[in-house]
Amino acid sequence: MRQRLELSPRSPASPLLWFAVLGAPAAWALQFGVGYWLSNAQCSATGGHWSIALDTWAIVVGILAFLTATASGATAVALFRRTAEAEEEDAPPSGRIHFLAIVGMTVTPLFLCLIAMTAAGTIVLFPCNQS
Amino acid sequence: MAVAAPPATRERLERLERIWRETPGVLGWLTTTNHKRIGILYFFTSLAFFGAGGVEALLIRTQLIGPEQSVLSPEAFNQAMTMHGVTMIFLFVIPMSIGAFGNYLVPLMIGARDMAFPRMNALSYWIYLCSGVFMYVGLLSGNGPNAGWFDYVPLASKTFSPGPGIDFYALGLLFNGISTTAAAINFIVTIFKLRAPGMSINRMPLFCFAFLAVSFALVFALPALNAALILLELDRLLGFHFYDVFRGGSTLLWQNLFWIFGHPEVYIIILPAFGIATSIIPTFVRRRMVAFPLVALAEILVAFIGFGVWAHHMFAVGLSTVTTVYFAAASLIIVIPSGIQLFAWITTILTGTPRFKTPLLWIVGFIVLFILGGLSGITFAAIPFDQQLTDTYYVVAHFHYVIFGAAVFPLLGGMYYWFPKVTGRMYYERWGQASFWLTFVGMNVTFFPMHILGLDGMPRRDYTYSGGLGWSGLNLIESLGAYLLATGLLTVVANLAVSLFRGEPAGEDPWEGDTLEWATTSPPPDYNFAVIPTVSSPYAMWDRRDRERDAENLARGEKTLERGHETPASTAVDAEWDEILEMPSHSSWPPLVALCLGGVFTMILLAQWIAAAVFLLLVLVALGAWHGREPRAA
Amino acid sequence: MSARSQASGWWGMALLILTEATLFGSLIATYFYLRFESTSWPPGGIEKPSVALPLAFTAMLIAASLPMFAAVRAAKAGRTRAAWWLLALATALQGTYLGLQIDLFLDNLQTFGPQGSAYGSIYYALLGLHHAHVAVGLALDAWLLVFLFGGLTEYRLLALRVTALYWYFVSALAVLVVLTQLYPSL
Repeated sequence: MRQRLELSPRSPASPLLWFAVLGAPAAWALQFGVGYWLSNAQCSATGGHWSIALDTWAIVVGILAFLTATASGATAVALFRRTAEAEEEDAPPSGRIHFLAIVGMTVTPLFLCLIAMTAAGTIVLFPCNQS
Repeated sequence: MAVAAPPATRERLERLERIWRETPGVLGWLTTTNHKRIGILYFFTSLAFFGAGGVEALLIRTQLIGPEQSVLSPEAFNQAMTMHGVTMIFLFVIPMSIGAFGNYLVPLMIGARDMAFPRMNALSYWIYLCSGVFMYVGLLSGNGPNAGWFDYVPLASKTFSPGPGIDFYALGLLFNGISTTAAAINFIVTIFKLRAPGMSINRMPLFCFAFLAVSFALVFALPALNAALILLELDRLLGFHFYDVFRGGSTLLWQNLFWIFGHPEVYIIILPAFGIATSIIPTFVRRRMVAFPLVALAEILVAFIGFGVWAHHMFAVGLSTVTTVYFAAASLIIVIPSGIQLFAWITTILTGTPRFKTPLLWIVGFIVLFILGGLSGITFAAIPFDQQLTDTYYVVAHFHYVIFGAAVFPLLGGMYYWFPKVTGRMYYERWGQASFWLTFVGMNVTFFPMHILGLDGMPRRDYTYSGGLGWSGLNLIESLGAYLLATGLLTVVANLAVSLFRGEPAGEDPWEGDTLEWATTSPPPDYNFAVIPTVSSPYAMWDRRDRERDAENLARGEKTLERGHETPASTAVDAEWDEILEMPSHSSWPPLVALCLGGVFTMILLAQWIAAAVFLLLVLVALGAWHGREPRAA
Repeated sequence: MSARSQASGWWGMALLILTEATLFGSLIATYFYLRFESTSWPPGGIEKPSVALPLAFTAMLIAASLPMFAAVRAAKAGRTRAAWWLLALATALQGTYLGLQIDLFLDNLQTFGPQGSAYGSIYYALLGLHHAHVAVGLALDAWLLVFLFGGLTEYRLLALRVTALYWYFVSALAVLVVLTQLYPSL
């Protein structure tokens, strides 16, 4: 008999907690996937067929990814402060929340850089110039 | 136990021994499902393949010792070069780190009595062995693959490689991939479910974080290789046209699929080594790892971001700049998690009280070599630089520094570190240190000059070079270095082999280690732990109160799980006690299924489709029967 | 003692599904990668795929999830015979689906082949591998039908749940595969 799914961070399956950890990486992964495929399509033999505005997409997807990553970082910070008295090796739930919050706070700036670098590069470079 | 145990405790231990006793003799080894025995099988098999790969390397270096040698013909060189790469990566490093170290240590470190799927664990080993034999039958019959470990098309297509060599490669790796996928799934489920109650995710040893990262990376990376290989064999055996430019196919398709696997693969190679380093350092500097959550995170992050860098192996093929930018950005950012780990390791060493015994020497060597290899790697993230140095010896230097220096050095250190635990004996310390220095110097003499040769323009994968190009001197030095390196490695093996018979008794915990494998006897009993350990930190052995609690539990017969072949399961994140699992033991199905699968692949190689189908049917029937045996209800 | 988290076998199947999903992801990506390289897709001489039959068959496969789901519910409630019959119904539907798909596959081979072009190669490879996964699912069904005949145990219930999970995956995959297969006609 499974326990009913709790949503608060006290539960190990809490969406909020895992968003704090995985939100930024997921945002980058999405930016990467969408961007890579669009650039592949546009810069291929059939490229003219679709006329994809790579720059526009790069800006839109980049902003969405950046905002999502920021939100996940903010969530991580909030959870870290809520468990400020806990140590990372404490028993769950507070130890586990504190630990994962630290993870989320570290991961977010890294992915924010990555998202920004990727978007900037796509916009600055001439589309479909061969490298 | 040093003190004579009270009768009740002795009775419990005897009962556990009876329940978990391994079948004696060869049959016992053939049908074992015990993770420690499987780890030992993996250890010796991968060591043998290490030797084979080493012979291939020495043949290559002897061929290149001077200009225009004829030690190896061009064809023989290509086969040696290909099999060296394939052997070292698929038949040595991965099976040694995951199959040997992972299998032996992960259940012990999490306080469990076996892996989650013991029979599938055995299956992984037997498939690995069969796939290695399969590929070497190819080589030794004069049909070795010869298009490099990366096997680019169109060279690897039927048109340009009509013989069966590439089929041995592709089918062999598909076969081998089943073993590794199964192992990865086994590790993930084991780490999720079989941790001792109390070992919540924030209290898991860093070694286990590394293995969790590796296993997830394998689950997502191997399918890309499998796809590439399946498409290749469809082209070669059935005349499909995936990679045939003249019929709408694409040669870059192979490169993309291969490197989508290939790049995560190199992180898969190095992550277990990170795990070993983060186990050895705290023990030998007697302090906890600095920034524990960040190191745990970094291990997973490297694996994750590693999926987004693959086209940096293709910076010279003419991709559009807006496509390459994704990979350049990720290739730069991926340095940071590695940097986090390096800073943590170095700070921990500097702020602890180091004892420079052999295991720590290997780790310090690893840190130095990883930094050097990482620096040469970073230079490749700059596309213009990459385009100059691609396919030169600079690349060979880089990846040997990171693979040999950063993946193999910790393995060698780990062999010394855990030798007392596995064998119950100590190795010879002075010879250990000597073996380290011989290997470290040999390694640098062999591979450092390759940076210079690469910058000088010497291309890789060439069976010889002309005398007037000014490359001869450095090549000679490299080859001499290789012989020195081989001597160092032979010293390691000799030291451990002799110590196996003549070493001093080691006791349970000669190093005052930090993780749970040191809580049990050396070697551990078949049941690992008489009592399921109480855990409240990632450094379980340093929590005196918890270890005392274990002794109290043993005396009272609590948490001993002696009714059958039992181990506890706990919840995935918080490790709260969930249920008791009845584990299988001894089964003939794994080696039989592995042999039948070998039959499938052999028949496909020989284009005997009906026979292949028959063997496949046998596999399915065997799997059906295997799963017909049910665990006892709890 | 009843457990709070999923059984090991469930996790094992979930991970197997993840790895197979990645395999198909690679193949679908291959399809579109090859498409991007071609100025005409399908290449000259090959007709665009007809839409009706593949979609109908896929609907049939998805429909088979209903008796599958019901079989699991029945087994959890201890109604072994009902579970067995529902499973048999699901198997019949899935088997019919596979038979019809193989028939269509062989029919298609009369008009264009995998050895003629990269389009043909990826078309037949993608479909063929999906059909192989359906065949494996039928093998799982067969095992269950044999062993459930002897009664229900915790272990067999887990096997049934895990097989159902596999089928949900194969059905979801069928949607992605058929959409890819029919992409030139959409």
